[in-house]
Order: sequence, then structure tokens, then C-alpha cells
Amino acid sequence: MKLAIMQPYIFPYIGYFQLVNAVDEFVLLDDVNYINKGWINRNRIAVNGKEHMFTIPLKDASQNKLINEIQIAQNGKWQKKILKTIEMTYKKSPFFHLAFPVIEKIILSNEQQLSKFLLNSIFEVNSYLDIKTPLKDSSSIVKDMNCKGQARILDICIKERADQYVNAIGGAELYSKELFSKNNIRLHFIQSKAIQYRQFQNEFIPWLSIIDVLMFNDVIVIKNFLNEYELI
Amino acid sequence: MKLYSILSESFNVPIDKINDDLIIASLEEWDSMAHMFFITKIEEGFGVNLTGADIEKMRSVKDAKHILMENGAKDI
Repeated sequence: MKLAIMQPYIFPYIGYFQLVNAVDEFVLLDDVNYINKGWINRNRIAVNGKEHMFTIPLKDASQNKLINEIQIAQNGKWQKKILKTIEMTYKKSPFFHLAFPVIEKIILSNEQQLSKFLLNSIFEVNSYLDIKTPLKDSSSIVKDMNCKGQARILDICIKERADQYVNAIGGAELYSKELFSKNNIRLHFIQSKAIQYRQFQNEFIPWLSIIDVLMFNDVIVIKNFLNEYELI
Repeated sequence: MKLYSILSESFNVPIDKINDDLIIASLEEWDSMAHMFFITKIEEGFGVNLTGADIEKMRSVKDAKHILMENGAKDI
């Protein structure tokens, strides 16, 4: 069984969904520390040809809390603001009429717990793209409290009976192929190939949020993008 | 130094916390997404295309400089 484990992120780039699609089970690390000004609750779209960061506001977020201990701010305004920005930016994109309802449904979710909100968002995008990989929170897997980092990842792989583990290429030096091999698990790293598609008339901005991909490409094309990677 | 600025932006760390011996993945603010953003920004910033092998070898800031130089980057 091929497994991947990553933190949950809001509308991540296409590479994240390549990883989800490449494995038999995807575990979301919801019981690790939140990172301030990281990518868990924010990402980039292109507004008027320039990168623009959108952020899901949180309540009392701290790097001393786990992702699943954090609540989304409930001031009632942020959903409208983000949806308005996305609508104004992308309303003339070719697949707005299909993609925007998916994004709107996610943003208007009443879920207040950040990790559940993020799991739901990934699930909904998966459904739209017909990615069938089951998702699971790491907090639902019995935890060895002594395990951190690579040891934790290995522990999850063993508990989930994985014989292959796939990680993003950026974490390559954190993991030992020998250690995984000793536990009868083959370790791979996923390297996305360059993906380009027509945005508006501007110079192409790569690796934006999946929102941008959904707005400019139909599902069949995106499913081809999902296979544009190498497993190292 | 341009590379230090990109690291600072990518991982939300003050520039004075960065030096050549820094192991990038040791940053408290490191995660896979931040690393992807970092790779994107150095490719854009230095006009290079990094391979999977390049990215795998990039453990420290010193490694990043070396790989950028190998790929023809200037004013690192």
C-alpha cells in the first residue's frame, strides 16, 4: 500500500494533489504544530497578473498549538471578502462557472475547526477532480508519544501497513532510504514537472493555488497534470 | 544577499538568522509547502531550472549557493 503524509493546507498547489492522486491513502498531519505565516491557512492566486496572498483568518493561532487545536475566526466577513476577490479575479476565466461553486461551497462551510475545514476542502477538490484516494487525519492513528519527525512518519507507515511511502521532494534530506528499507518500506520522493497553462494575457505565474488551475483548465486537462511528475 | 532574502521571505525568518551553514529543513518554520515556494522563488529569482537531483542535494544554504552557481546563477 502506497502512503503519503502531509500537513493539511488550504487550496495548495497542483503538486499536493499530484501526491494525493499518486498514493493509496493520504494522511493529513493534523496533530503537529501550526506554523505562523506558513501555508496552512494561506496561499496565492494571481490578481491582475500579480501574486496575491489570500488568508483564512484564525482565532488565537500560535506555533504552540497543534493544527487541530486551532479555530477559524468567525467574524462573518472573511468568507465574503475572499469569495469576492476570487470572483472578481476569475469571473472571466473559462472554467469559472464550474470551479467557483466548488470553492464557494468550501469557503462557506460552517466548520470552525481548522483541520476539519482543511480536510473538507481537500476532499471537495478531490471529488471535483475525481481523485478517489481516501483521506485520514493522523490524530485518528494511535500515536507513539516518543516519535517525532522521521520516526513519526515511519510509525504511521507501519501502523497503516504501507510498503511504500511517498514524500515531497523538498523533504528528501530528512528521510533515510536505508531506515525505511529496514522496515520493508520503499521510500520515494515526488518531483513535479513544470506545468504551464494559459492564464489571462499576463506572463505565466507558476505553482499558484489549485484555485488558479481549476479556473483555467477543464478536469480532463487537470487529470493529465496530476500525472506530470517523477517518482525518485 | 539575494538568496538570504528569498530564504527570509519563504520561511518567514529574519535575515540575521540565516547563514551559509544553516540547514534549511532545521528551520522551525520549515514545511514542504514553504520549501516548494522557496524553490519556485530561487528559480524565478536566479533564472534557473532545478532538477529533482538539485533539490535533493540542497540541504544547507551553502549547498543552495553551490547548486545555483552550478546552474549559472549570478549575484547569489
